[in-house]
Amino acid sequence: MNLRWFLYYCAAWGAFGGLVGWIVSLSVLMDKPVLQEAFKGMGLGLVLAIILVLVDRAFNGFSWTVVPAVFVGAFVGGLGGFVGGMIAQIIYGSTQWNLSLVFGWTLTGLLIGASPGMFELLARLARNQDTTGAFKKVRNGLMGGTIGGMLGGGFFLAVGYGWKRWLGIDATGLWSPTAIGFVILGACIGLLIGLVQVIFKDAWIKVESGFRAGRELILSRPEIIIGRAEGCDIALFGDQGVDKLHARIVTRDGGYYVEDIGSGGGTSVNGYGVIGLTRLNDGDLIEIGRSSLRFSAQGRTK
Amino acid sequence: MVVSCPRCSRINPAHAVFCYHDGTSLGVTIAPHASPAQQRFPMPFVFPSGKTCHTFDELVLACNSEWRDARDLLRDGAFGYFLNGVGRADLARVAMQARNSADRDGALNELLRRMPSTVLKAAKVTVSPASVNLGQVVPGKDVLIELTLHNEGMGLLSGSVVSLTDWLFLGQPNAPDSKKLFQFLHETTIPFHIPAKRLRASSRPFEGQLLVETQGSQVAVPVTFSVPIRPFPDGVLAGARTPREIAEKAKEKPTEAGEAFASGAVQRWYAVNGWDYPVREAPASGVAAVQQFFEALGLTKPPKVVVNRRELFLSGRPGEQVAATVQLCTEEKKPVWVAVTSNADWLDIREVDYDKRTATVHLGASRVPARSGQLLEAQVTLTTNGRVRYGVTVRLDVSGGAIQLPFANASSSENAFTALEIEPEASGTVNRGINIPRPPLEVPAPRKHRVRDDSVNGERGVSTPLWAVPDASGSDRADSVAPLEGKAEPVVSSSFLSRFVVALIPLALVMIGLIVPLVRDWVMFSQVKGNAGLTTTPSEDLSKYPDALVLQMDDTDKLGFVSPTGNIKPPEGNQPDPHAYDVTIPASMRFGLTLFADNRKLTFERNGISNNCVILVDNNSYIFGDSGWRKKDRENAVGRDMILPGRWLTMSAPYDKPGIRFGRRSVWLCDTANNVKVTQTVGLTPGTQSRAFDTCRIHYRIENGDEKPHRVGLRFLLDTYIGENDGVPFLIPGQKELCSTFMNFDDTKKIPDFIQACERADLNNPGTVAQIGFRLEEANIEPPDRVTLSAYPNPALNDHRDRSSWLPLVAGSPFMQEKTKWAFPLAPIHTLDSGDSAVTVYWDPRELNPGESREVGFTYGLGRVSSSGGSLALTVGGSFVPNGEFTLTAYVSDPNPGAKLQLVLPQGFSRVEGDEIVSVPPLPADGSTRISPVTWKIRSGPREGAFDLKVKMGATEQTQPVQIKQPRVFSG
Repeated sequence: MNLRWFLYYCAAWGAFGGLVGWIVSLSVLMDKPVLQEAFKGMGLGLVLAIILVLVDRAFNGFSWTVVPAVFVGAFVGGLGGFVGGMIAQIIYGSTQWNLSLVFGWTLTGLLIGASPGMFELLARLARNQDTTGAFKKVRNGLMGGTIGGMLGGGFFLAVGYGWKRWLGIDATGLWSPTAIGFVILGACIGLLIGLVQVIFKDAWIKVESGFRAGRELILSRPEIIIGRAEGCDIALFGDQGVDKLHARIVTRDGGYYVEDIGSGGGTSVNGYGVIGLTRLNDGDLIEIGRSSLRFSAQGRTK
Repeated sequence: MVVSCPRCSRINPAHAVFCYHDGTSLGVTIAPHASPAQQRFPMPFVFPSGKTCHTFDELVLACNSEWRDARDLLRDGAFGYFLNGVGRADLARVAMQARNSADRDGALNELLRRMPSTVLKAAKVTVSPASVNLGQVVPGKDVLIELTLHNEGMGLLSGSVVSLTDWLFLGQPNAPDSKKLFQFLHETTIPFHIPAKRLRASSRPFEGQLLVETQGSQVAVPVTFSVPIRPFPDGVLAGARTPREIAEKAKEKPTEAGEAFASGAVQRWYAVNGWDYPVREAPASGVAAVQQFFEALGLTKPPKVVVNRRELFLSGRPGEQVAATVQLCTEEKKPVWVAVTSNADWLDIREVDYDKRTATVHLGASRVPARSGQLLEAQVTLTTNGRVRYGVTVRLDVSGGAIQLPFANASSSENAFTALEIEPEASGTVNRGINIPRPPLEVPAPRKHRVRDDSVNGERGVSTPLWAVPDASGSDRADSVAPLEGKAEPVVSSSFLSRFVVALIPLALVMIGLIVPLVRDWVMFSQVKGNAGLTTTPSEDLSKYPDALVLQMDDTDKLGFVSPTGNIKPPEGNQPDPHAYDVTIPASMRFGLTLFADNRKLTFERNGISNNCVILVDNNSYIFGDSGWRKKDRENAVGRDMILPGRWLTMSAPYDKPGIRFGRRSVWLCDTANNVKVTQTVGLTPGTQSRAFDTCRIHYRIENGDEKPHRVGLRFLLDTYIGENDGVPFLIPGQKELCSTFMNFDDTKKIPDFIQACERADLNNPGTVAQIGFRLEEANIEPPDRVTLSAYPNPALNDHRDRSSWLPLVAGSPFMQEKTKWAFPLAPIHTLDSGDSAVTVYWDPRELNPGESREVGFTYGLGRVSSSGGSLALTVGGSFVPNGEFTLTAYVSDPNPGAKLQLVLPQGFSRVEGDEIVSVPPLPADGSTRISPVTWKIRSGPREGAFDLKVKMGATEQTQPVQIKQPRVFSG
């Protein structure tokens, strides 16, 4: 999928995640308000994190790592929601300020935002690999989650205020303000996590011809594998001119390079065959088999 | 006798003057006229030319003039033998060593320098010319110059010449050098040159320098010249003197300028001026050439260009002519240029057509080579905007072999790329005469014609040719192959629809999911609304809501009458005084409360006209909403008009705030002299425990709109009335008895959160319970500074003589009922026989700066008393949130002496004030009441929920339920 579809799916599925999170929260009934809201936040964070990780994987390509990524993301999102909800209720319960409510949502969003990229960061740390790309993803997710949480909390208050104003009654006990607020919160977090990733992308690849032409992949990892195998980051199925592991794009010293990793058909950039590491510039066309990929970069990588 | 050298200690002959070994003076006195230089040799030295030297001076002069002979003599050892013979073994040794020296000139020079001579002058260089001015130089040819060095001294002159300029080189053009060494006796010539490629036209002259360095001296030789700029000779670019001017002129008339670029005139102009032409490729034509030039200068960013094909398949018979085209285009509004090269001599690059954003390269073979059956391959390199290069592989199948191609002639540019039907050879290689090992040719699988389905959002990918009209054959697409048979499947719409449907799934799920809570809340709302939809319209059946209040405003002008005592009464009410006169009483926006169920009053007047709100501004009292009255019939006037300075800014406007119904807002300007504005908002709000609209919220906002500060305070006089009782006693939390006289809370901290009044002093049937709350939830609303409970300021009190129990004593006639000013004495409630109670709430004056405001408020409504009959009743008031504090008041009717109450709290609750077991205070001696109150201040637990507070009095037990609820961050 291309970047715009990625943003749309992030927002739409984030909204759905918020709705499911609200449904989960309905079942949480505890005497202690702090624990109740903490578990509600956990439910929201858990569901949102799972959905956002799945959307991220759908964009960047499914592989066997999707299962642990979902688990790690769910853990981080659930923990973030729990902590955020707990702190929010403690502060809001003692002050009853609307600002503290928005703060609580912001905190929840912040911690949920880290979930999509957390697995990759942890995996790279464990393998002692370069974590620059993964760290950027988590950072971008944190920013998106913070803004999304802030906006979502604001909408949550606004919807509640609107119900009170239009209905003229105290909205306590109503379902829809919370449901709508959660949906908007989820949509905001999802959209902004995706938006931040799109805005702050350094470089990306767009498949111009070949399997699923039109999809785009942000080059957020130090190495991107291109080939016909299932686990490839850019899979070019159905093209016999593409080897199972055909080429890779690596990041070195702030630049992006393509390398042919022993394919039969070769890899070319702008019509010229690749020998060793070939630096990629903005607008270069990479041809593999009968497929072509366009490399684009922001200014600092030129 | 021998002489020992003082330096080397070697032995010398007695006649030696200088040491034979190291030349050190042996201290032998020499005749003054006989300097070593002029001392005659024992035997003369004779040169081959016949020149005879008798002294060292003569020898030096002769060596200098006959250098070559001297050098030969040195080589032959003649000098060595001679000097040895004259007793100069030191010099002889030098001469002998010099024989073997490779540099005999240098050795001779060294020998001469060591000789004791008074005539040997040090070598000194002079240069001619001393400076070089070449004047105007034309680029294109090397400039050759010579520098002559002269030795003005004697001996050998050696040194170096160095160029201090990067365009000035020593030596000849074929062997340039930046430094040259020299060694000469009398004169030498040093050549230097300026390469042609360094001769670039410039507006400033060139200045350089050569540096001649010899032993102990330096001479700098300046070199100057100029290369004048030749302006562009003709055309639209005529007169341009710099590339930037060329660019500016070309920008003005790009089409005409393009011809100059295409013809190479600009390139020639560059060469004439000695400049490097920035465009390295073959020039384009037209505007494309201008674009090419601009890109080369970095004046414009090159557009992204795509090429429509990367492979060309041609076929033809030997001698035939075949042709094809390749197109390049860009989406940006910039011209495309292209330079084409080929690595095959059989492939001709014919021409390139430029059309704004498109460039079409025509290529082909003018004569197909005679290599029947062979597949020739050529690589065409397209260099386009930004010097981006694309490679296009051109394969020419020379027919006449076993391979039959389905298309006979590929000369048509439209027939660019169609499916191939080729039988691959079993060997996997293609034997075409020229053995080009390659994998078997594959039949490209026919692809479905596909239009980019992300055109949903209007996006077009760069791989889509802009000029392409997506037709069924897809022949204009670089990456599509027309199907071998049949029409292209109409996959456009189904792909788009499926993607659209998939994209809508999450949205649909969300919408469906939200329907449930919305429907549920709507149903709930329709039930709740009935409770909230209270109106003053009698026709509405609200009998099922007995606890609702009705808020009535004094919002219309009325006719009234003024009695001689100054009392103002509306037409209804008391009997009119025969001496009274009619007046028009304007609307005052005072308010009164009644119970909707049975119309019982909570204020003396239903519309509250016996209440008043006074604003004190700099010790002047202004009554809110009171602009005085006007006599109806002036002829019958007894009194006088009383026109007060206040006026309405907004008399009555709806007031909508969450949780407030029937709200009304009024804005009163106290006086144009002080510009103090007061905004009153009143409305019904749900009680904290009952959740019914049984409480009136009264709020005032006082603003100083003046340009100077004012001291402003506010005082509200509430004429309480419950049911049929105008003089109800007050139940005050914390007080041991009811207040039936007067009470003065003159400290904010002492003011309770609320006070109550029961209609009847019968806990079994207390009747209506009114409750006045003094602390609103909002932090910006000030609590009162003082609260008084006393008799209503009835004018009849002015005539009351016994004022000893009043507090304080105020001179004059301060009791003016609804006209009462700020301060009035506190008289006991039952001063007048009928008893008339009032609650007065004070917010003391404080300074308000210009633009500053203060907010005050309180509540008045129904209270709740829990009583299951009998002698014990409970009521609560305060904050009902976890860890909040509230007051529990127990009312004991006709308590027995020594009666005690025991408070039983739920788990987690704690007492803040009051003991667990409290003695019930005895009843007052005057018998004014039969109820004795006991109050506790309690802190709720950390949990929320429904809890029961219990109070036991002997066998009697009363329970007061409380709902502790904390607002939720996630659920409101």
